[in-house]
Amino acid sequence: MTEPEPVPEPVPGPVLEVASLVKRFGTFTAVDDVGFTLMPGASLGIVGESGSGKTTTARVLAGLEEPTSGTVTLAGETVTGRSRRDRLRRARLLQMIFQDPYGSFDPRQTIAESVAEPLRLHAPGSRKQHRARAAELLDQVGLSRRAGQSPPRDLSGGQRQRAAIARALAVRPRVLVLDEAVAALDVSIQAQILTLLEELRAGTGIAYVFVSHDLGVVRHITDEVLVMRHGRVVERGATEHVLRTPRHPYTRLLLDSIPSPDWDLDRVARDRVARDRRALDLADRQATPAPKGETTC
Amino acid sequence: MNVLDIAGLRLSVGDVPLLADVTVRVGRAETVGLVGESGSGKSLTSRAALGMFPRGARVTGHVTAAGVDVLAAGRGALRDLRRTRAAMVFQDPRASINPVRRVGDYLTEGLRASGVPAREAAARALDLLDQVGIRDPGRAVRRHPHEFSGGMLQRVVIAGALAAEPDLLLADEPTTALDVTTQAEVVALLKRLQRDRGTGMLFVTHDLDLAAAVCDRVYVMYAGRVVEEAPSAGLFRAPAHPYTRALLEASPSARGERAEIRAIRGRPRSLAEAPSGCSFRDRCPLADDACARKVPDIRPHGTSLVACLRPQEVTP
Ligand SMILES: Nc1ncnc2c1ncn2[C@@H]1O[C@H](COP(=O)(O)OP(=O)(O)O)[C@@H](O)[C@H]1O
Ligand SMILES: Nc1ncnc2c1ncn2[C@@H]1O[C@H](COP(=O)(O)OP(=O)(O)O)[C@@H](O)[C@H]1O
Ligand code: SF4
Ligand SMILES: [Mg+2]
Ligand SMILES: [Mg+2]
Repeated sequence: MTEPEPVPEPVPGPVLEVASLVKRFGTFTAVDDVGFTLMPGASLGIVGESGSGKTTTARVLAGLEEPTSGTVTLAGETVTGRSRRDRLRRARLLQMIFQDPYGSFDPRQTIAESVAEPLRLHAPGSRKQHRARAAELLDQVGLSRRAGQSPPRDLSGGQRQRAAIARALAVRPRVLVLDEAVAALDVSIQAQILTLLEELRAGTGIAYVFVSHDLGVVRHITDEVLVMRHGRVVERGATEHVLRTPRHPYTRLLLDSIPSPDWDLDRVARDRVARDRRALDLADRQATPAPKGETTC
Repeated sequence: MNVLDIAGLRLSVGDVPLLADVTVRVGRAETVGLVGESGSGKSLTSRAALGMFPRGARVTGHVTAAGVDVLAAGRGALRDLRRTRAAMVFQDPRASINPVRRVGDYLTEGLRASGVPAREAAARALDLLDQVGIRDPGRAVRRHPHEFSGGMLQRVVIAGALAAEPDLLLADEPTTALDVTTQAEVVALLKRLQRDRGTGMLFVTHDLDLAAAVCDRVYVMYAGRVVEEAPSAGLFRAPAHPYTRALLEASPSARGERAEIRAIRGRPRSLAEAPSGCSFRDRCPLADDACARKVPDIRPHGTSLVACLRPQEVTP
């Protein structure tokens, strides 16, 4: 059995720290002073409507986007470098899963070969050893041997997401950043993937940053949550607490907008008008950001 | 009188069966849901209401929409049905609107075609945009689709669908691409307009919570068949089909008590891939040999009509 080169065990403490993160595209600020701390094995949700800056935040964490300012610290080390060594180190600690992983698989390779690919980059050992480890990973995510021998186009959406998770786990990362990872899946398949993610977290102590527009999904897969609007964190706290006793009007609007049998559409419409942009923006400005370095979230 | 009556609809392309024995009815002023996972046949069924079938499809059964016998109707009658008596709203508003034409032209062309004078059509377009909550309709009619956000453009499409005051509105995942707050507004709009005009609506969605919130009655589809039909309240409180219950248990909810979700084994199937007998039996926790013998008949159980041999084991 091959193991990836051991990453030095960090001093016990957060596995991921994000401080004062800002990302501008030209004059437009997509991410505005976002900060949080993630402990090993924790699961943090980032929710908000489209355009609120969730994906940009996730991409900065994964090193796919350079922050305008602010820091990302992984296992105690600030990861800013763009050298090959720095990128490999970051990839060893943190992996990302996208909504549709189809484009990230080489269409000419079998799924098993794609899953073995990161091992070639990160782990010593022979091809045979890598193949064995890939088989083990596919088994861990519930993919059959037959699915492993297939090209990506022959897999269903759920199977492809399992394969993406297997490949991300190959290097035994400490953090998985998932961006709308179950959004495109049918509800029965979504439940399978959520269950798999729960088992993996319990079994390996991996930590999640789970980006989603779906509050129901976030409730089931995270312990803490950030609510983003216009690039800013407007509310944060324990997921269950935030959903039951939302304090920011925007969080309340999001919750009221979720359909339910006693859904009062006229009220939602009135709420939306009453809490129109000005009121919300005012609340935005008044919402005090949590003190830097605080570990509540 | 129902505004939509689909009975015993079978549809196949070549030797691939896609729908079997689909029965769906929508009354005047009623909102009826069609729910199920992808590939279950929701879109094929709703398009059948307007006589829109896949190329080379063989169709049998019975479809009456707004008084028109769709399977017997000629091209002219179908065109007339789609233009004046039944309208459709799809998931992606950008697919319904010609991107190079102005929104005003989009709204007036149907009215003009049915003989409304240009001036009156223009005035109606302004009025419709106002009704769907678009600010400054006078400017909006001169704009092009790309100048609108997805939510705003979906309102424009709804305005177009309602221009002819149809008896029947087919809405196929009309809010799936929208944010929740926008979804709530668009649904509120659909419901209000429907209430005001007595339009019957077939509301297609994969979202059970949305169906529960919006619909009076719901059909659950699986692998090209209807497996359960019930009033919304009954369906969600006391599902009769194992698939319906499994879907509810698999759906995470943001409100109420936090309940564990339960995954369903396997994946959704199309009719062609489904096992013989009960289509759900390879995923059903209650399946036994009897379930393989024949497709279960539809029968009443509680407030439901259900195609399962043992609904009493789902909800007594
Ligand atoms: N590469 C880019 N260039 C310019 N603007 C961008 C870029 N990426 C994202 N944005 C903008 O940043 C905002 C936040 O986008 P995103 O992070 O994708 O939000 P979310 O994932 O919450 O929907 C949006 O207004 C989007 O248009
Ligand atoms: N034009 C077509 N030709 C052949 N098969 C089709 C065609 N349209 C849809 N199908 C198949 O019919 C089944 C039902 O499709 P659809 O009604 O679109 O499902 P849903 O809307 O419930 O997701 C699917 O298996 C789909 O692949
Ligand atoms: S008929 Fe049998 S297999 Fe089909 S849903 Fe009922 S119990 Fe399950
Ligand atoms: Mg995004
Ligand atoms: Mg469809």
